[in-house]
Amino acid sequence: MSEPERGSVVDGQNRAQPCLTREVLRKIHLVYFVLLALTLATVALIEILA
Amino acid sequence: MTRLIPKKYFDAIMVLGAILFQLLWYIAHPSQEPIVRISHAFGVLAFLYLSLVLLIGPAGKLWPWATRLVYNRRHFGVFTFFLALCHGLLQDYLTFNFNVLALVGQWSDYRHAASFPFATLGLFALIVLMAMAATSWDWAVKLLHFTRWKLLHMCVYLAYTALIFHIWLGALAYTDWPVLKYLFDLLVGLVVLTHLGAALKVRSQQRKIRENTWNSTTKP
Repeated sequence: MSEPERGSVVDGQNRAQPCLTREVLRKIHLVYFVLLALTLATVALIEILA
Repeated sequence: MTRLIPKKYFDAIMVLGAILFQLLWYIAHPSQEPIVRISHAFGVLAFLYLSLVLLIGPAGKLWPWATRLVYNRRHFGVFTFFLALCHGLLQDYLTFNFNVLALVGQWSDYRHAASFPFATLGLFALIVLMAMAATSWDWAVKLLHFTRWKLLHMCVYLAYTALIFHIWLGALAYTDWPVLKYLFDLLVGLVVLTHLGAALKVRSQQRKIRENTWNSTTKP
């Protein structure tokens, strides 16, 4: 069995899979925009209350 | 089949839009010094265009007719970078006489919002846009590989966030037009909500595909 490539993870069938997949990028995108929306809403709320 | 907009027409629309915006800004601020007025118009237009560039991707996922614009997105982004560069250079000349170190050092109180050096945020966004414009070519995608290239281009969201605070703490803190604040909040809200909507739609579509695959493979 060959060694998995650098920067990869091994799946259930021992195949090397890149860590940075489109799925991971999609998750980063979603989490980032949820956090951005929360941050902007908080800043707007602080401004309204102040 | 979706009909694409030829690049030359799209470029003509972008340039015409920029000229028209400069004229509108001139009408709205006739007493301002010309170089200051031109610089501010470049800045506002760059943010407006960047917001439109960022709207294209999620709009294509939410409404299929918008996918035709994806073809023009790179050109649009590179043009936006040049507008932002014009604003950055003019502001740096006007305020710091092209001294970038002074730009980073001025109002170096990073602890308080009122004295936060908002120009630094603009510089950060400009550097990100520069890296993106330099890699907005097919050979760059091949060189970096798609996922790494995509990760680099996703830094535009960091740049956009920096620009939101750059404008909030800078231009909008000193504007005498309160309506600009509402328009700005509306535009940013639209970008953020469209991205969230598209991301959630893709997520639910993928879940359905996964469930269908699972059901078809586990059926006796």
